[in-house]
Amino acid sequence: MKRALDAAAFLARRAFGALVVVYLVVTATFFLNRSLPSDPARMIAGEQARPADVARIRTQLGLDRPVGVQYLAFLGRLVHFGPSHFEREKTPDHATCGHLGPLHFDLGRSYQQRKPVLVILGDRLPYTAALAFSATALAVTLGVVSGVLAALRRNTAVDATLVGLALLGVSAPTFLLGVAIQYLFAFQLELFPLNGAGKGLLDAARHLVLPTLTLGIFGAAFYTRLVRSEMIETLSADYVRTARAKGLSTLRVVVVHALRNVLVPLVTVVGLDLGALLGGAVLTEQIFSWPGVGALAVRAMRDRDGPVIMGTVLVSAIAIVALNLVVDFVYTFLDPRIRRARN
Amino acid sequence: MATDARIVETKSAPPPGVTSRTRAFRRFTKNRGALFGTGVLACIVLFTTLGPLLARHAPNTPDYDHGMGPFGTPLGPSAVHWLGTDTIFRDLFARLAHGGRLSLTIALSATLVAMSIGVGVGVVSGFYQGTRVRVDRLAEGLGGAGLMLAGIVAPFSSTAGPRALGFAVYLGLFALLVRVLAAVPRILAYARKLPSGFDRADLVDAMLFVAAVLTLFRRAAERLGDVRFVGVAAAVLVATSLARRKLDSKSGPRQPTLDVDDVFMRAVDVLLAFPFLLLLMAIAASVEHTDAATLVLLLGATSWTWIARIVRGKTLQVRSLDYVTAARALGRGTPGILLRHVVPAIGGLAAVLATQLVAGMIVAEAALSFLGLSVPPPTASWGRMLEEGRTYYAIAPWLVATPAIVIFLAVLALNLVGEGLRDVLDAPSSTSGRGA
Repeated sequence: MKRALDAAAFLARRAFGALVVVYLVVTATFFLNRSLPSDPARMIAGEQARPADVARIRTQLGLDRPVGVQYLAFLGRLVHFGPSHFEREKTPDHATCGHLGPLHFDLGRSYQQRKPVLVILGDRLPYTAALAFSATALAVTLGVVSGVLAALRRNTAVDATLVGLALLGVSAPTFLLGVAIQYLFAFQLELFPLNGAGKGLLDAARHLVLPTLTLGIFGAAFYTRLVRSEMIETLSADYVRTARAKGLSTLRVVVVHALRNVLVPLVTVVGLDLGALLGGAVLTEQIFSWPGVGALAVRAMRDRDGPVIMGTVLVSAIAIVALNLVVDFVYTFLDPRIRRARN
Repeated sequence: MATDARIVETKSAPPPGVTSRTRAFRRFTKNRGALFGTGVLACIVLFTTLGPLLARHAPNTPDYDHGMGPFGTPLGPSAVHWLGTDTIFRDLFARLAHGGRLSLTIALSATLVAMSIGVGVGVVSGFYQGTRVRVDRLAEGLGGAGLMLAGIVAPFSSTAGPRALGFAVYLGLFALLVRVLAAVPRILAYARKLPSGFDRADLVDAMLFVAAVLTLFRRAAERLGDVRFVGVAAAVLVATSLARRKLDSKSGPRQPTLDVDDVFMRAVDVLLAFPFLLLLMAIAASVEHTDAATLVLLLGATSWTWIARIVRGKTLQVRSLDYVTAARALGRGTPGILLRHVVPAIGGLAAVLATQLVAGMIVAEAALSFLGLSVPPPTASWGRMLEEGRTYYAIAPWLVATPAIVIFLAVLALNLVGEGLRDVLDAPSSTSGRGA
């Protein structure tokens, strides 16, 4: 009972810290956004618009108010209370809101697409999540298998090959690897579609293969190196020798005893990477025109679409901070020493 | 397995009298991967320094006579154009060499910026862990540092300068706000007729803050980047700080304080929660015309955080070593200890980190170019060439392949050298394996 309470208190403390971080990121982004040199009203009205029209649009968007007032208004709208049941079209006050019961969230309306930012993000998130999870799954599987193999066959040709491949992978940033993969598999061999996301679930899965491969190989290279070095260290530990001396098979020693220890550092890195990917894999999504949050961010930056920029940054920040929190919590389950140290 | 390595090590131990430096050099030259990396790196540096002199074409001039294919397509490698021409018939060799010069210059300068900030923050954070500073003093320092930084940036970059000044104003205002909040306990104590130490200084704060909010904040949006405006903010901050020092009283309730280390590391946490590429894009988009100097500042200012974290850890370790305690006991002051003991101890680590950072910077610059946010055309950089060639890989695959191979080789070489250096300089642990 006490342990559960301790764990809850720990989680609450960390969650509060996470909220503060998200708030600071949002604030910084807001002011960064407000210092953009281009005038959103001018961009909506067009180059040839009359000054009066530009001024009218500026007033409509509330951009003529002092920055401090705009900031407070933005924060007030971001999270506020409202009716639990409402229809977007009929309630102009909550036309751009998303809600959890009476708790409303509002990021405003995109300057360019004229749709609520939350709706746009909602359309994009499934694609980004699909890419993030499939790429992470591939990277972890490949990384753990080759890392363990390299560690077990240390200083042999197998090890040298795997370590060499991992080094090559680490040195090829995703935009090089992505373009190469696109050229080879989509253009030359025509095995998979060049870009886009297709129509329907099955087609989307086919389109997902190459972006997944790009991010997966890049991640696998990192994880291979990590797992190999951690594994080598673990295999020379006393308790592994004991397990071997007991007559356990290599498979059992590796999977049951050694791998569990390797998991702690691996979970940290994988968790943080997953957080970054959930915020949108900007370059990979851009190469393969995958309609995720990252590609949306690039477009919003080009269009100087302030509300959408805020939305994408918020999604990324929340993803990173949330995964940080998850990693922190998973630790305590994986490593009893950390649990004891905390209590 | 670790014991095997140790036995080998003692067997090949050099004779006594050999300094640790020559021993490190010998270990480095025995690492084939690191040697290969050094060789490749030397070739790349040679190519970017001599290449522009060797090239027989200008990097930005199209050659319609010898560089254009029969259907207006770019040409492959030939005697006239060694690496072929791009889609508007410019010499690829010349562009690659000139672009490399720019890419490497940006990467190296940005690394210098990031290392300065990262090592500085890391050392201070680690060395002063446990030292508490008053919150209001801290805010003053922050505002002052922001204004100072803006002053340094302004002359270097015509586009980033005014923006930085604008941000400095916000920082200055933030500093004022914290100052006033820090005075709240005294004001409350005064209201309850307790010994408060409330004096003219707090009145100065309150009045100045109200004035600042009323006049400055309202105009901030339009005035961002106005040099006079920053001057006013700076003057206000300096004047109030001085007035405060003079009037400050010792009595009254304790002022809120924070641990130096906590402040820096929480700041790093927040910056790390910023998606790196998004942050880069946001700032790059906000300055519209990205010249090389802006890019250097941008990359440098956004990528020091993990350096600071690692350096802080090492500094914490060094701080508690016996010889540092001994130096302190012998009466050496803090600057002396930092210079004589801490800096040399983290030198090797810094070299390794810097090597990795250069690779990261080359990639980051290329990524920005790839998103169309780096140096504007027609200037060549490796990333921009990659981006320009990408759409033509069906008819001219060498356009994208050449810059891609060069970037890949540069990053690979830097990784190899970095690993070699780590094995030699940063006391190899049993986890470092065989390098490459």
